[in-house]
Amino acid sequence: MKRPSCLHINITIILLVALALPLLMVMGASDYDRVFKQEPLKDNSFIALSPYKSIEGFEYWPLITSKNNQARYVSGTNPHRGTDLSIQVGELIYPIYDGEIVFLNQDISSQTGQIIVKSYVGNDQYVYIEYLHIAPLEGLNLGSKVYTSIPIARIDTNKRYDCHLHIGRVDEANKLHFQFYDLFGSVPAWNMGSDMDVFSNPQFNNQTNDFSITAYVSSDTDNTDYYGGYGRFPLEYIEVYYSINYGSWQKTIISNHTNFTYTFNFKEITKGKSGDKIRYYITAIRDNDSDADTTFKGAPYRISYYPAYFAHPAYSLTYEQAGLIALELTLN
Amino acid sequence: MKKRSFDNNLRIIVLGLLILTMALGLFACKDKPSPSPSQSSIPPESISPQPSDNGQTQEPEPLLEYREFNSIMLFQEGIQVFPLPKDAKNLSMMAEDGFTISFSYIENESSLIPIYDARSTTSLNKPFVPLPNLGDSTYLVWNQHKFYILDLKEKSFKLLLKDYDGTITFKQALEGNKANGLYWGTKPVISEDGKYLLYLTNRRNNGKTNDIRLYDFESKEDILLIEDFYYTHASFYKNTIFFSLEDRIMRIDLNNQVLSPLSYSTSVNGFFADNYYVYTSKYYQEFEILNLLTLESKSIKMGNENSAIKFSPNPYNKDITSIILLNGKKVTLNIYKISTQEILKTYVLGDSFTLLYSQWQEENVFSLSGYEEDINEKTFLLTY
Repeated sequence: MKRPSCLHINITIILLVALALPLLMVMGASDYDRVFKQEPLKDNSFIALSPYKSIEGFEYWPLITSKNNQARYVSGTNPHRGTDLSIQVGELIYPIYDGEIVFLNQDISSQTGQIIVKSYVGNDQYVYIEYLHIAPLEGLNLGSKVYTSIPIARIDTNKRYDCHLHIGRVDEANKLHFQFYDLFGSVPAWNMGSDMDVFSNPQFNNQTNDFSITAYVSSDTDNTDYYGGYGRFPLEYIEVYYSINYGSWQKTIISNHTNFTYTFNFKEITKGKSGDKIRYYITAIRDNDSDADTTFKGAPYRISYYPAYFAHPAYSLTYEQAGLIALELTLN
Repeated sequence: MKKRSFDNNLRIIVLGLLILTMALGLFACKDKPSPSPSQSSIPPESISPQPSDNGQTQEPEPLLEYREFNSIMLFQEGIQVFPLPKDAKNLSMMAEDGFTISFSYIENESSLIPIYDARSTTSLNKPFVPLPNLGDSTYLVWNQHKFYILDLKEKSFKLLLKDYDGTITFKQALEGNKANGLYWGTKPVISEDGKYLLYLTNRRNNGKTNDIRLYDFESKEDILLIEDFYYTHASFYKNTIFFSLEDRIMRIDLNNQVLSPLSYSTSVNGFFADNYYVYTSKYYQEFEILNLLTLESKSIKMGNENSAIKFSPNPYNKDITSIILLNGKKVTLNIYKISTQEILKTYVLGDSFTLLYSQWQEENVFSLSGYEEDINEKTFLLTY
């Protein structure tokens, strides 16, 4: 009897694996593609404190160089998963809520020291707050209880990135990144939390059909006219995508804003009628021809979505992709 | 034969897919945080001061040495600044570079005190630093980039450091300076005699490295002390500057500007108090007192293995510090004398206190502010 040759077996395996790979990639991609979750806390009754403060507890408000969900000047297409706070090397970092360490990376060789703290924030809710580009303090371990009044880390030295704290709210598995503005909605120095995310504070009046949302980027521009090289910069425009009663998608461009808040009337822009179901999502288009926000000059990728969802959102979503992220309201 | 070959292949494929699945599963599980238990909510006890006995439990003394308020309170230079006093006045001032600050201030005897209200300010991101040598109403203001001198009596607000330090201008330092931003001056430490300002800057290398500099308020000299170093904490002691750098303590001799390390491993989770460095590298239960001159070290234990250690050094008396033990929502305060390693007073604040602020209101009055049962605002003023 002729035994099957190794070559025969190998070819079969390679063929089958090759056939299975696209399936695996699609399955993997579906997980990988989603990195954001837009779900504000219900009744945020516990105050989040600044992660940077004095030993007495006086909170400092460092400037923000990159917001959560902000398009980045990179060849790829991945919006920023977290918020960057400009804090000097060696400064001590405090947890923003009391809690327990559920993830700890003490390897700081690549400036990726990281702590995730799980905290109870009232109303049967837990949050997971990520602190990255830090050097965790000695004595901390998985399961350690930590407190807002005691530091947990110091800002790491510049090994790959300029010194800063990357902070964000993640899910239990550290895969999905939540919006962050709602945790600091009472902090004027951070524009009532709007400094944390590209999109913040969406409001819909179901009587008048008026809708407003705050949207802008924060940048570390080279423009020396901007004090210290930082600033809040307006978008070129936002696009409101909508579908009436599950029909085809259409869009309207809105450029006018007041202090970065865009206001429009859903009934007017959709020309819908009372009772119509409106599905919608919004894009923020960063200005890559701005003389102010110079770091983004000529950038090929400049889009952020509300609701944030995809790791690599395309400029135009398929019908299926749009359906995944769209929110819904009913016209009055 | 064909069937056997197919079976072989099938087994190998299934095995291969299993390995792949396991590998993918393992990969997916990597770095996955583990779940954790919820916090307890035990009913609160009333505050009970206890006499010192090196942490040993004794019967509480009569409750005469504390005051309790149903609000969050903050103090600055011994004066209550939050909630904002009714007689506070508002002021906006602009420096020559356009930096504008808006704040409230209050009159206290002959001096004027500007208030840093972190939860209402839009123009400040750090508290004011008193400069008593320059005047009783004179303060250092520091933002993300620069230092300014605020003289409230003269109503002047001016840049402290020159725009050109002999090698580079502010604008030159900004060029190509991304992300980290430019710190022309930051992290101020004022010497005990008020003569010097120690600070950090990254202006020499477009934000990529840090230098330690010294500004002399009298001669206006701005000296580059040490290149390519930074500090977490720094302190003047006689003619020496001590500073903490990662797990080391460094010293700079001001007579000759020579930098040398102390051969002792420490932690940045600590503070300087004259010739001592008090720190914990354990986070819980245990801390060290290191004599910076003799390198003698004493290890102290307080509370139990779950007692996280919070230091609150006394700015009015450097030999005194509060050591707060946090164990869940159980808070214990020890007033501690550093030189003799002696607990002067112990307070137990019940089992349901969430600490927000801890500060010295006066030399012998310590303030703790936070929430009882997560919602009730509470401030305790405690004496020793």
